Amino acid sequence: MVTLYSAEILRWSKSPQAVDESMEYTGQIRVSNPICGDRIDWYVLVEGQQIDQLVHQTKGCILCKASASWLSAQIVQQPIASSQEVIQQFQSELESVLCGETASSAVRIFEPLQQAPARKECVVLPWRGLEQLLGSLRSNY
Amino acid sequence: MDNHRQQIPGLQQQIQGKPLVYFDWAATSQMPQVVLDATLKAMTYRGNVGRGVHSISTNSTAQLERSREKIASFIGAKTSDIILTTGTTEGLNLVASNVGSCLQKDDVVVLSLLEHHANWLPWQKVTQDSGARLETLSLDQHGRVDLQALERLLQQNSVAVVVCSLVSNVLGTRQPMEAIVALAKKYRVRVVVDAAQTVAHLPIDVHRLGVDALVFGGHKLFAPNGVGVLWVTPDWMVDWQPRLLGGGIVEEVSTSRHRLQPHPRRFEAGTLNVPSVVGLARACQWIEDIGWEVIQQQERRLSSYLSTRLASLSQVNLLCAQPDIPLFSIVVDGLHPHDIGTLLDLEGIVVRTGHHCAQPLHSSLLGEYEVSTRLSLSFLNTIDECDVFIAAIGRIIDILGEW
Repeated sequence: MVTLYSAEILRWSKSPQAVDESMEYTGQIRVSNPICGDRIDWYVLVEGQQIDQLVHQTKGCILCKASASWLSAQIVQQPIASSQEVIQQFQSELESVLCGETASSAVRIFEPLQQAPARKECVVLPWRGLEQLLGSLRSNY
Repeated sequence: MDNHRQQIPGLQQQIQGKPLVYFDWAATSQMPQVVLDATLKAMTYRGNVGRGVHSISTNSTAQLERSREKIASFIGAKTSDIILTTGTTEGLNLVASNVGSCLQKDDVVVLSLLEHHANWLPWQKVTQDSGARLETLSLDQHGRVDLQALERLLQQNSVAVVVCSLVSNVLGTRQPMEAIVALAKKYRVRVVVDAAQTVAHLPIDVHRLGVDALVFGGHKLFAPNGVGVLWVTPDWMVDWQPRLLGGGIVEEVSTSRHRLQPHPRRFEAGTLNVPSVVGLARACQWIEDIGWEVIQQQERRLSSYLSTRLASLSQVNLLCAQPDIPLFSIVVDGLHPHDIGTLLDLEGIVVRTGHHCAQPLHSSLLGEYEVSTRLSLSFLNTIDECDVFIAAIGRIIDILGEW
């Protein structure tokens, strides 16, 4: 229908999200946007300084769900510190995209957001949530 | 209706390369050219009102007072009983702060579940500050306040005020205000009405309604932003104090004290947004020239058609199937309102998505953080536009539903 809802975005939005109830996790956070009802629960298992497992449960729009699933895939098995940098880099690149610049390969999937900049919050809410969670974990180590 | 539509420049625009279908009148209205002209003229030839002796100031003052008269008569009020505000929110805050200053511990403020955040927040604050209680008036299954529940609350004999919208901005239902007032009067309780969603759809006569205070904003009524009206019954207003002090509302000022002008002028400190007031008056005149009969006939036609078409879509759930104005909030199975809103926008169709500043009502009807898609029409919309919407929502359901 439109590139914003590309097959890739739709696929990510349908990625398995169920949290295995037996999963052990070292950190958990819930972030939400009451204005639109998006809500993400992140669960992370950290071994040493490395993200060993990362799962989310997201209730929200297609963009929010796709964004959370996509981010999970970029971050898992990465050290906490570099994951935080990656998230910050994504946010910075997305801002540039919304200013009309060509997207880097990393956030190209979200380039069509230029058509609907009001939906930026839907995409970045999971990123901010995970960034916050990783920040709190890092300070605990 | 084509003739009236042609008078609205905002409706002639294209969105995403498609002709605009404007279904967001409940959020804000588009303005007719006559309103834009009147507003621009008042800005172009402005003088400060009520202050100067020169011709420009005198002309502006006279124009303001003529506008005030028109606006008051539009709701069946006397000029001396209306306060010009910046909008509905300021009006509600002014009411709440004055009621709040008299509240005592264990007094009760009754607020309907329907209310807009502009009503919830000030009443929550004044009840918290005073130790009073805020009781929520529940709804029946048709989206109208439960009168039996209201009577039970009133029987406590501690209710200070009942606050209720005349028309819900989510359900589109007109509340049984005459019955609410009758009950409240039986217990000598004041009634405050938010008429923001009423003024563009139904005629209002404050005396016939029998309420004690009524507020609305201009931008819902084909008028500019930044102007609103608070009407208060004079025997209540006389006890009130302004929230804002400043120039234009005093009779005398010394270095240690001041004496305020009589009501209602003491509530209009500073320089009024005269161009918007003039625009609002012109909008009232525009409505009256078209006539309520024409407006309501077209709105009933649109409501009937759209409700039937929406009901034929099995994935579409209506929060209220029989609204009293052409306003439909819908939930589409499996689809988030923001996705619907974005995809409709790309088709040139403008709707509101979210909780529409009525989060308590959405939480009650749908669950925490749940939201909806709202189609709010005016008499300026057409059956063809309804068809465009139905076709678009059908495509969205088909395509996203496959995923």
